[in-house]
Amino acid sequence: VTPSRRSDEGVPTDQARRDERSTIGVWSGLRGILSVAVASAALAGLAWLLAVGVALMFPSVP
Amino acid sequence: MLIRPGPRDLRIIGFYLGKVATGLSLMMLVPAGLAIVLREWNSATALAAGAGICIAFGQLSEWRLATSEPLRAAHGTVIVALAWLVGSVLAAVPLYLSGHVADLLDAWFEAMSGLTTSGLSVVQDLDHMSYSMSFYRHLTHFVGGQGVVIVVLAIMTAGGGAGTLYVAEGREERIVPNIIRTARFIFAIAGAYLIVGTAAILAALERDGLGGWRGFGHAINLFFAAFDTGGFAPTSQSIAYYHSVGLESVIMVLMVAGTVSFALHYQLWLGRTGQLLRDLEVRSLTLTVVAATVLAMLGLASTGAYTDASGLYRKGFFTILSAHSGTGFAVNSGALIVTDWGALAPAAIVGAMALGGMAGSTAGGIKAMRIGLTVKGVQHDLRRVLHPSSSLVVTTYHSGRRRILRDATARAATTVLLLYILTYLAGAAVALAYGSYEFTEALFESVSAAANVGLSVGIVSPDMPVGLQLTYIVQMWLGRLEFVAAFALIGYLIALVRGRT
Repeated sequence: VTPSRRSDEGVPTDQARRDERSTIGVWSGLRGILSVAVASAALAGLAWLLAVGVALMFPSVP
Repeated sequence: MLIRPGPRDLRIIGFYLGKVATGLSLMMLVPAGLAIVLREWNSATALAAGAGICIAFGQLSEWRLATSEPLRAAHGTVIVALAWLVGSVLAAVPLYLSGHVADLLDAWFEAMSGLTTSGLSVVQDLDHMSYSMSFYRHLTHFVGGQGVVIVVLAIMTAGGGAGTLYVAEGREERIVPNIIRTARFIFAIAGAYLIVGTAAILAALERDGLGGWRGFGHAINLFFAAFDTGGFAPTSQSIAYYHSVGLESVIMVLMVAGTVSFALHYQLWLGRTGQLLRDLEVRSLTLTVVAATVLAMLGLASTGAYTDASGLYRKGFFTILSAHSGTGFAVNSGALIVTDWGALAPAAIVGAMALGGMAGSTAGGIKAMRIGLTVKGVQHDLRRVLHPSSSLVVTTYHSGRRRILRDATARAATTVLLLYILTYLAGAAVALAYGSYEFTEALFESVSAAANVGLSVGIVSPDMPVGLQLTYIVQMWLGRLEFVAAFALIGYLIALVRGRT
């Protein structure tokens, strides 16, 4: 069972309290930024493949 | 029957609005300092005058209205709704005094557009605006993007009412239990991206020949506009001015970062990268971005506007990402979208603008979470119909953790979705009533304003009709508040007149 962040009454749970105590530092920040950059790159890569595919579908249009 | 608010209620509201005004004075004092360093005396005077008015307002409320009475949810909601109105009027003062807008209404429009991270602009002679005033204009994105009230909470620790105000500003649940720590964490994220993002933009600009202090000025302004999904740019040609693939790539990453909710940022900072694959909002957003990109590219290719992969990617994908994230950066003249891009590509852009980014981010629009919940709700109803009546149908979704879809949650998402659609159509109807605009143009501009995007096909300009300008101001305000606080304010005003004592 995944511990919930907040009970139905809105009281913070142990998981949320642990999160709050978690140290957010330079390295965790860089890790977060890198995750977003990688996800963006994956999306951009997919968009590039789509662009290539669409360009191949319309080769004769001037 | 509503209960009529008493003098004590109004005192509380006035006191907290004063705190917001004091917070906004900082937003003007920083660029005022820059103006003094750069010897831009006109801008320094305009910014100092604006800051002075804010400080006077704040001190007056502190002197006459100071109270230690607890803040109720109704107060919080009304304060937030008024804070965006009063704040935008105060933020308009330096812009008006700068001489770059025709009148006070234009200044208010520009300030509302900046604070709500919309990015629609009526500034005149933008390319000759002073550095400090340009910095101030972009700083409004940063302050508004983090949330005007959040700024005050983080800087001034506004006492016991912090949680009430935080929720009232339309934020999702707190990232960590302590509200002040949540506000400060939001600023920590923004601060980290400010350093990394500005450096990356500067590197891209340096590579293309725009370096030094001038490049740094452009970089920091572009960062504010990209990460806060605003859309203002230092030049009138937006991103097209730079002709830089490198810059466009960095901007795309920052637009994605801006449209990611702060709660998801937090999970990623804790190393929980698996959230990117499981989260309902991420899935919903990815699907709609990809679908809109395909449609836009097909539209561009079929009309012959762009047929090579590079053109389709740089114009099609960038514009869709700019629209979907609510940023509003343009890589071509806005008028071209309706004159040269056919019907499919503009429709895809309007759709992307309408849908918007993630809930709890700086993006506007309907939000990926509501789209996901609405689809899940339809799916749930279908399953309930198809299963035997005795069976218990449970639908779940992932948002931070696994959650059970409740009827009330799905209903609330659908209600706000419908309100957005009505607002989009109402704005388009007002524009059409002037008889000078086509339906596509009217809908495009209306969606851009209400979803706080900022892409324009040319209706928004210094000489636009006053009634339409006021309509877009209201749309930007409603879109940013996601209706609840605005409706609460209307209810509060009705209670003031007709409420029971």
